[in-house]
Amino acid sequence: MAITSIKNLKEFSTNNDRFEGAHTLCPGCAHSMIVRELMNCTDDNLVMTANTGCLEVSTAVYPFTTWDTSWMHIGFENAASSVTGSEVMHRVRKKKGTLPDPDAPVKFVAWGGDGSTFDIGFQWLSGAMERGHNFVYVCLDNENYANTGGQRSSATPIGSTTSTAPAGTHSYGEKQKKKDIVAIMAAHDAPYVAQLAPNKWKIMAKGFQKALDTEGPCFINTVSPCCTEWRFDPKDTITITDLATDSLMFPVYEIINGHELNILYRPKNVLKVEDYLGAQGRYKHLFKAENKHVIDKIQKDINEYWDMLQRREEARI
Amino acid sequence: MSELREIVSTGNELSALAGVDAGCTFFAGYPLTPSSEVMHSISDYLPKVGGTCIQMEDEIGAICAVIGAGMAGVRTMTGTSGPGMSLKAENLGLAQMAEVPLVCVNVMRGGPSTGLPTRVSQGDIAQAKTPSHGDYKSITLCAGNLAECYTETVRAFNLADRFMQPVFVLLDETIGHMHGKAMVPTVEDVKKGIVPRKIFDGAPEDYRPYGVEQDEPAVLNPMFEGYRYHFTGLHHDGKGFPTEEIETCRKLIERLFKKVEDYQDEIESNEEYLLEDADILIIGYGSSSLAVKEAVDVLRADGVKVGMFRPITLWPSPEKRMYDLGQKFKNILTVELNQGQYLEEVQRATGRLDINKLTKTNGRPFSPQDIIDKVKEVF
Repeated sequence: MAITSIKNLKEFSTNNDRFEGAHTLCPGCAHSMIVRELMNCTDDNLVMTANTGCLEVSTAVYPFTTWDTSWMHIGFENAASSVTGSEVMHRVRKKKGTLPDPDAPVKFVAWGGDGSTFDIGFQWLSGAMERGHNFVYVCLDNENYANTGGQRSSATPIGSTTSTAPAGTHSYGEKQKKKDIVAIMAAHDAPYVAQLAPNKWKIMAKGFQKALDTEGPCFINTVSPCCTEWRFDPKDTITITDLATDSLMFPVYEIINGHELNILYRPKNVLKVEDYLGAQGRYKHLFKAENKHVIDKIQKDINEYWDMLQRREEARI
Repeated sequence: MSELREIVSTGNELSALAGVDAGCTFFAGYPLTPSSEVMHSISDYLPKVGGTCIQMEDEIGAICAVIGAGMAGVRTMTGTSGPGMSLKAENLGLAQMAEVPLVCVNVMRGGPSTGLPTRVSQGDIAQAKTPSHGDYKSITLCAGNLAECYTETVRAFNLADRFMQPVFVLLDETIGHMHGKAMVPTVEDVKKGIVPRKIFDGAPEDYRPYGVEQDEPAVLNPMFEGYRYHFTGLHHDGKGFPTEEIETCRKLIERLFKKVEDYQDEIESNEEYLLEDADILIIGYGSSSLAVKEAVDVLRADGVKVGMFRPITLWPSPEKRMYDLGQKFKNILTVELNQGQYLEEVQRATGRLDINKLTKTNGRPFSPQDIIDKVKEVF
């Protein structure tokens, strides 16, 4: 069972820190906040795998490791597959009685960035969700390949400029809509799927605990603002996340058993998406007159999606 | 020789520029260090000439998109590094079997597996010979300086259309990220040198894309133009339909070899540096050859007569020339950033096992001093 108290931030911060300081993530990177929060919200043993990405390269720089748990990195795309092997063998050895401490609770967690979750690792993740392993997959969604130079991914929103979908005279940047990974994962009939944000730390910690305590494959998409590629001041990470959740660019919600949708955070004052876009350098070109239609499109998509979420919550489908 | 123009750029960017100048209108790729700049720059160049650059969801998707676009008759390209080559392998085999021309730039990094993503290696030489399972004859070019990142990429496009198969251009991290001046042919000269892919213009009912002479490549007409045929990775007959017929299967694989082997002179290319009066022969390629060249100059200033042989076309290897050099030189040293992948080819071609090797696999390039020390040590 997960750790008891997450009443307030001060108390939560006194939990035993299992994601220790020796990492080389950018100052202002939200990855470390999210990972630390998951690891500190449980006392259970953790077995973790990671896809290649910022998190992996920055937390295991020889001769240091940031992980106070079992942790392995195999390749770009296969965290979900490698956690499969570990989870199955744990089950088998438990059944055969060959574990030294068969009753010790163990939780399996796989980490991926949006590149390895939405793109190259998608098939592997889908396979693991379908087979129904008992694990939690957490996607650190910073909407680009931040580890390799800021290329687009299928999580990159319309209008954002990236190194492989650059904005300029011939283009306003990314032209495709972001893949709805939460809906896709919920369609696997997963017992618990959620989209969470680090600014709503309590909701996030509870979501992690819920996922860790749920039997079966769980998926959590977390928004992880990337100051380097989104181009904002590193001190503003949480402010940007606030703008993301309050403009409903990132609605915070969960889907239980594939159909029971609960909205976890309803902003009191819904902000216009301009406030969110204007705070980041990657959307700067959208404020030129010829690109105004892109902002309108983004706002329209957000409104429609929020409307859909509310209707689904009410209808329980 | 016609006039050259001066470009200040990096190896990766020159390779992308060469693709566009050589008429490539389709690029599909996946970001992979240290080759990402090839895609970064071509995603900027291609829209301006009406071309398309797609970032795919993975390496396998990238090579398949390139094969699809190649079937539509256009010049296509992809860029990657070792791990990407491993993922692409299956479909590179398909492109060899179905004879689809494409250019694949591999900017080599340390391996195996994730290896040393941001460091140099020449570890994919053996892989380039046969990236996938099965029998075929690879064409692999290796750029040894900035200008060649451009010229060899251009040549790769012409060879791909001539021999109807994938052509690999090997760069490495050092040369891919090297920034400097390159003297390269003008766009007009590059355009003049383009030999378009062969097209069958008879009646559609007579069209047999794979029903060609034993030393010829397939003639694949572009899609959408009324010439129908079957496309498969299975053994196939003249019309492209799967078959297990004994003679057809034998002839197909023999032809995949013969179409390259019989015209090896068209593909072969190498550089010989101060070999005439040399006593010691150093064989090196790619970025290592830059260090070799400097070492040769330094050693010669000291009175040691050294020369360099640099294969530019690695596969098929310049085996006859290497055999002759093996007869002429008693003292031979190979220099490569792997544990001796091309050394094995040199041993095979020369028929000798007494060849010295200098290897390095720590992710760092050679310094000329490494080579000078080795020459003084062994000869």
